[in-house]
Amino acid sequence: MNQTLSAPVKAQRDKASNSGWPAAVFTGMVLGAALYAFSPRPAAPFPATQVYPDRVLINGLAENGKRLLAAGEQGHILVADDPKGPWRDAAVSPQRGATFTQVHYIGDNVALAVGHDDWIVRSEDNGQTWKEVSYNEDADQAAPLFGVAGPYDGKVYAFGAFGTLMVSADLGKTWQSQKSDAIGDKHLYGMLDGGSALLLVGEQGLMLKSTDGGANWQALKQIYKGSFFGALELPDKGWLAYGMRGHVFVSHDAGDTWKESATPAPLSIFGGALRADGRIFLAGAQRTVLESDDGGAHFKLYAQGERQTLAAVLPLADGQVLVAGEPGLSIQHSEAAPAAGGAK
Amino acid sequence: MKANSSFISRMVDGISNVLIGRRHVLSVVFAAMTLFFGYSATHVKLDPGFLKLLPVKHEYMRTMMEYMKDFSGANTLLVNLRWKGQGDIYNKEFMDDLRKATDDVFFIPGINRTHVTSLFTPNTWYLEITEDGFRGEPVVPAKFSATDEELERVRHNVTLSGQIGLLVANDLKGALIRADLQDVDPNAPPDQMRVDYWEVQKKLEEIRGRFESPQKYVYKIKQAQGPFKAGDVVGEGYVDYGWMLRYETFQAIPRTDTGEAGEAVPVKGSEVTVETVKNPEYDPNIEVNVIGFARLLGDVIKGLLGVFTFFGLAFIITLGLLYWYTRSPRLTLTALVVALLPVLWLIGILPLIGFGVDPMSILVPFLIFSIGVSHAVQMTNAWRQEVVAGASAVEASRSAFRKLFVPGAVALLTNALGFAVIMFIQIPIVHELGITACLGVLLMIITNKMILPIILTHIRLEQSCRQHTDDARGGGEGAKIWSIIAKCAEPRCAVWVFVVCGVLLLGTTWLSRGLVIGDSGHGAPELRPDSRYNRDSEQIASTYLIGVDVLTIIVEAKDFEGDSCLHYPVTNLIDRFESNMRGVAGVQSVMSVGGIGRLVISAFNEGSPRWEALPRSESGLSVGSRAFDPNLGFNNESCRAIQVMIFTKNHDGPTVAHVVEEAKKFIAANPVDGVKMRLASGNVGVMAATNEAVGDAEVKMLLSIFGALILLCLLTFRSVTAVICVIVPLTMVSIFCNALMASLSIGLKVATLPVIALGVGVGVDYGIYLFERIQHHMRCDDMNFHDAFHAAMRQRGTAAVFTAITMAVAVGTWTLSALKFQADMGLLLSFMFLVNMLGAICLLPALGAWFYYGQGKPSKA
Repeated sequence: MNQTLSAPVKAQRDKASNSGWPAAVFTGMVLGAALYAFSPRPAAPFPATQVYPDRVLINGLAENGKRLLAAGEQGHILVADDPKGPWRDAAVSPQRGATFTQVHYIGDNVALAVGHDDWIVRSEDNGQTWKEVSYNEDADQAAPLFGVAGPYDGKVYAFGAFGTLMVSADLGKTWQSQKSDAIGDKHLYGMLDGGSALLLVGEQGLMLKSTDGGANWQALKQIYKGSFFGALELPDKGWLAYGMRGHVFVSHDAGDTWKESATPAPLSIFGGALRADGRIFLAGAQRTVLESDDGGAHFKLYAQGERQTLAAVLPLADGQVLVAGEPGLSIQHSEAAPAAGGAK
Repeated sequence: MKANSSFISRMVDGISNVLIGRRHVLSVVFAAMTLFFGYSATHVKLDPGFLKLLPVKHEYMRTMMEYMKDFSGANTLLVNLRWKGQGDIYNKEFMDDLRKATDDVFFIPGINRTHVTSLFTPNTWYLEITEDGFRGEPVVPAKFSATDEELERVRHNVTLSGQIGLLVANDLKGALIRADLQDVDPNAPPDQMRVDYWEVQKKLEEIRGRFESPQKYVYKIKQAQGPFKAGDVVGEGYVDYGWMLRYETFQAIPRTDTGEAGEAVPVKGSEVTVETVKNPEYDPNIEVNVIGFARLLGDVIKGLLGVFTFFGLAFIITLGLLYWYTRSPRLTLTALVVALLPVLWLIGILPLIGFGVDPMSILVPFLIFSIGVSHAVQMTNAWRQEVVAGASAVEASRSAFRKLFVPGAVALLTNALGFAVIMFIQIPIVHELGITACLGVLLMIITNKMILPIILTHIRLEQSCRQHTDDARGGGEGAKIWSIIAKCAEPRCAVWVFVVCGVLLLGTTWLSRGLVIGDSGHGAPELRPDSRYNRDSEQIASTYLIGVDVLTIIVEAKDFEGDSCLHYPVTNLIDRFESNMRGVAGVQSVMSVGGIGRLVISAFNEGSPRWEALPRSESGLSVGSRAFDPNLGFNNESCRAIQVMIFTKNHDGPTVAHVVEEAKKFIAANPVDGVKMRLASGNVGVMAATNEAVGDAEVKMLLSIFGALILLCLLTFRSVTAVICVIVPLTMVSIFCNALMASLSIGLKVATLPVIALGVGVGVDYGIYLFERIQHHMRCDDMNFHDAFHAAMRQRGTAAVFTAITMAVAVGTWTLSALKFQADMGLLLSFMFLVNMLGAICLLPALGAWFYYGQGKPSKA
């Protein structure tokens, strides 16, 4: 039953292949289709890897008109012209990868960002590009900077861990380190210009005042043993200092006497800001945002979340606030707060 | 060539003479073999295992195996207690249940006890920062009696511990117990070291039943036995075994008079009575969700019980169809028995070669049965035609054997090849499946081609059947259909066939490009989306941050002085990797020593987020050293190896591939001296490796199956044209199959990749059986192609169509399975069988009509 191909059969086959063109064409089609169908399939399209503003630690916020800056984790500075985004990653050179702790405008379109390893970068184009002006190569000596303030009377200050205080007289282009016994080696977390005097606050209740433009500092009487994480100058020229576990103090006599404010919960506060109408906003642990409409005497809960800590808050024109911290950037609106503004 | 060919026919004649001549001796031999294998088959065991499912040779899996001891790998169990009552979990009722459940999990055999984590285990800590520094303690105090103050304390501690989203649900309505299962239990005696997954899953069911089942079952011994008196309680449980009870064994612990526990005595389930009592621990406010491989396996095995239902169903349908086709109870019975023989032999051989039945390979026997039926039909059909034509049973047998041995053996060889090439997938379970199936098909050469003719010599065909066959051969309905189908072999109609197929081809080719490798959808891909396991998985995934899909990267830093984590280049690399991966689409969250180290450093600095960064100095980093404690499970001793856990949003094939690709990109772009980042562990790591193994195998597998088929057809038909006529329809149907998968969102996976190979291996049978006849008629009777095809269809067409339908229906019953992979396989195989048959009876003649245009005598009609 298995007959072989004899010569005539072969000849027939040749003839067949001439006349069998529709079948040959179809065979070719199937072959082509198979090659295409089983060739490597393209990878599914995914958005490119990027810095998601809600997945990166942000420590500092700054605003210049519509322009918003957010500085944080691993040398990222995000730039946007609308709080809803889109946020772009600014160019920082060289990119040291150290974490930024604060960003601050010192003039129109001129901004400074400070961070770990005594790193300071400066932008003159409204935050698009940043150039390094200070960095400490020595790993054992380098300390984190926690804030930048000024210009106060032409001088810009950067301050940080272990009593680090740096001063620039040329709007941040060059920096000189300043040491003083009064400062010691406590961490400095916040600064304000109270017109007649400068105030530095820091670790373990540290409060320092200078009445000679920052040349000499005197320690104020300790009013609280926990740390202060920042200070704000209020519209009525009062001073406000905030710190651990919900402790907020207000002074109306340039720091001589302080009165503790009422806050709803013992949660540490790491950032604060004023709104144009005089309202004070503070932000801190457990995604807490506090709000005061009586010059800082009483704070009530504006919003609260879970677990993560906020480092900065920026009031927006529409009554909401932009907050930043461990959970990245987000816009918070007031939660119909229960009667939380009462006594502690 | 001539000598060779006649050698084959001489050999076939020789075998047929021996077979029929010595049929009585051979009957005894075959009967003895059947008895032997039947006996051996009673020893077959269910043999599931986790490692078998892994592509063990894949680079990722080698990494995973190497660090199996240090890190949990992919074999994690999650038990979630969900509070359905008022308020949140901080109440006595819930906390008591959680503590009990934690203890139960702790005592499951094979659990790595140092890694059990829940609110009640001492490795769950919190840190509290106050003006005086900070304190760290276990979240639940050692002496905990759930008083109101203590509950408030725990609530407070949990908040500080950062476990919300990890061990405690985001909505505070549930708490997790996390545990790792080892494939090998180091605590057990050597002969019981391999973890019995069935046992583990039963324990997990008990934990669920303890809180969810309103009844409790008490088992009392019926008759005195060993240390027990009749009526003694030998076991308790919360799971209703139903009729399965007789297969259970209770490890009963006798009490001595002094109340001490003695050695456990096994008591069979058939020796006890069940008493149903109220379960005192039943809590309607508690729902228990359990996920993990052991649990999954439990559900898969239960799903498999359904397989027997399908087998029964398929058997009955086949029986009915066979009878309808032959109208002969004798032939029907013969075909079924002969089709069952290779299944029995195969199951008998498994224990002899050290294999067991694995849940994943359980479909093989059913497939073998279906293929067996199809070949038995061809043989009985040929025999019947001979008998009806007037031959004696013995002569008809000999003649059927001679006609069918070559095409039948070739067809079985192609089936075996189909099974063999799936072994290109480098996964042990697939190898096992391939070997078992190959073996089964090869056995069929003996059972179908040798035993069947012997049995047929003893059969006397019923009159009803003769009548039926005569009808079919005469001008009955069948013949008309074949005349219509034979029109495909007319050149003019053939062009229309090409046009229709061409249009289909264009559409399906375009569709087939959408096929993805890997899974799609949430939950365990083995099960259906609405199964309890997948609902549990969804519950956990939606209420916790961690998710259930994790890709683990192992960072090796072996040569650093002291603790590797205290070296900035190491920890910073991990930190940057974490940040980078957090920005990858498809990633939910990332956890490792980098982020945790930063958190600890921040905690040591009054919780300020501005301190949350890794200092470059060793002294600075050592502040965060609590994060590098091996007990946290992110690194081993001295950080020689560190794991980075990337939780993905899902485990869809494309997502997995994208995340792996991005991780590789980062690793390539960020080399650090002395540090090696290795992929991958975790369930997503396993999936990535499996998907890559499947992807690698796809083209290899297709090329080899088609290559082998082309070669076999060439050897059989000695004609390139014949090969084209047989292979082109198969190729087209393979594209159709891919398109079907793409449009039904069935991914290319371990379960579905073999389908094309199997479908092609089985589907080629129709072409081979038909073309063998066509060639015969064209060469011996000098018929033209159309007439030859028509003749072939009259002789074998009915059998081909019939077998295709029978097999498609039998395999189609799998679509009712509770297991999604079985349902997918059933659907696709059904499709392949049916459409390949259509290809063979429509496209094959169309191709032949043009390739053999003008050959042979013109049609008489």
